[in-house]
Amino acid sequence: MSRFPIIEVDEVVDSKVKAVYDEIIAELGFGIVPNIFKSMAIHPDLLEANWKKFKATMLTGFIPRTVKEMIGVAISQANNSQYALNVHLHGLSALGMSEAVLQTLVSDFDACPLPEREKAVIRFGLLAATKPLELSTADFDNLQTLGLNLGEIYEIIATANLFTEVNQYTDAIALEIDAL
Amino acid sequence: MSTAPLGARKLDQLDREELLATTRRLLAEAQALSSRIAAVNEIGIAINRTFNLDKILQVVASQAKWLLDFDHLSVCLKDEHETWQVIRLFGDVEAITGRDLLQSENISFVLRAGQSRLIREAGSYTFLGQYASQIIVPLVSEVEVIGTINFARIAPQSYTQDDVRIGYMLGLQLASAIRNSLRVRELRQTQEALQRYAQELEQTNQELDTYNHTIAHDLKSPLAGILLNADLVKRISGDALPEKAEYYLNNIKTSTKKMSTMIDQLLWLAKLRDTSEALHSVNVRQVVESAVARFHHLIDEKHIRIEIMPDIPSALAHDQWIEEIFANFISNAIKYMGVDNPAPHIVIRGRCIGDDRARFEVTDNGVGIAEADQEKLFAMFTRLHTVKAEGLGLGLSIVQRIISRLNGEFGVESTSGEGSTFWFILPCGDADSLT
Repeated sequence: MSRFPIIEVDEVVDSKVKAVYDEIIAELGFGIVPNIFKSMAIHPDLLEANWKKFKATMLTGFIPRTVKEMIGVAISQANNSQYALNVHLHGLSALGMSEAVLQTLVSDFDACPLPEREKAVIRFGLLAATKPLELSTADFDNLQTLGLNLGEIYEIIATANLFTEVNQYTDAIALEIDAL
Repeated sequence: MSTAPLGARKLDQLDREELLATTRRLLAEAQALSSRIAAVNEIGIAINRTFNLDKILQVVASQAKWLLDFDHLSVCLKDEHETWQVIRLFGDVEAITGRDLLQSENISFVLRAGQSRLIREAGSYTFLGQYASQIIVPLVSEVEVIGTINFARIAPQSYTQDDVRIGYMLGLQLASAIRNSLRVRELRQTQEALQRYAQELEQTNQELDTYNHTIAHDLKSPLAGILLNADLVKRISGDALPEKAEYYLNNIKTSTKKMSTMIDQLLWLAKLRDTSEALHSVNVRQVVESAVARFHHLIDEKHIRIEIMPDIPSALAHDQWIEEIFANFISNAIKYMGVDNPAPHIVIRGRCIGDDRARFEVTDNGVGIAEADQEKLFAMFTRLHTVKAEGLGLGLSIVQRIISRLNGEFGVESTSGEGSTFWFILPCGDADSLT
């Protein structure tokens, strides 16, 4: 049971919350408002700010969304945070990723049959989220050798930051996983 | 005991292990494809968010690496002069012109056949010759090859058929995005040209109206002078004026008045372009009576019976415009009544059509209009000569312009020798205001 109320779409009275919900339904791509945003509706300004950050990080930029979702899954697995792990595995499946790849992504990353560039990006993101001090210049150089520019590397770090925050928040309030 | 079964068992076991390893490898490859296919979809969504060709190519340049590895990425497209151009998105390319491009066997094959080409070891003399491995994918949209997208690596044997399939999927998305961007560009150009043309037309119209107005005013002053002088000659001469001279003076006055009416009508035509004043509900019966009053001398003189039917609906218009329409129709009915009509008769009526339109009619029992002539009626300065009648030929074109300004319809129903009904339809004015 979530420690914050889950305010459903048809219960919203605040105009800012309604506007954010409408945007989430239109832009997220799944036609729903996930519980994480519904739990933030008790504070419309923070809801709006968090949605904007999520949108800028996950729905725009040059790193494919599937790659960013995979970074999120890897980080959530490392943090043992069930909400984002489940929601984003579902998201990846909806984006067309094979179940078998997703299983190995969680259970045995090294054996995961992904192209080397994707694996390098996911490893980098995981390190940025869990052990940022261990990131070295060589790690940056490696990504640049694989064709990524600094803007794209920043997208990876921003994604790592977003999921760290999401894990911390959803665990703190014991957020229920959406009925997907 | 024989050794053969043991050997067979060993072989079986080896085969099984090899088969298992191959299966695992193939499965892994198939699964890995799913992330690349998802990335193709994402690029497809991103490039279809914009109609700007540069932005589309920018997205492809930055995101294609998630699908395929390459040391060079380019597209071939036709420029505005229909010449093939290579647009480099990543890596080097030797300078190449549209003509060279078509002479390159690989590229011309793809453009001609619309089929992808996988080159494992390119000769240095070909297009992108410095890259041994190449995939050239046609950009096909609506059964037309509009260009190619070219991936290349320096190392030979770098690409597989799976890579070609992924490249082809991207090619389909890219072709449709490029086609859309070209269409939007054409539409914008057409729209701009139309706007320019409309502005020029508006300016020309304004100049014409101003010119019309000035000329009409300039023409009216000498006419007033002619009328005044004719009157003065009559007044000064008194009874001494010979009968023939008086006849000619009267002719001068009649012609001058006719010309003055013609100029008034020209001014009307010019004024009709100005529609800035808001429309209002017009009491049509009142306006009809006012129009009839203009002709009371002629009506009395020709013994015409005028009948205005009850319950005429109101119309959304300007009073003066509606009066002008009726005045023109009544004037025509009088002119074309026929010289030997024993019982000249004009009926004016109106009725609602549905909830929001009203139809008005002026019916006469005059000479009528032959079917072949009815189409020519509303052209400017056209006057039909089936009978001898006075007229300037501008009236109905004024009616036409008024009704078009009011979003209405108009027409004539007539039988030669039996009479005519001139009608028009306009949006209704206030409800319940029958007059």
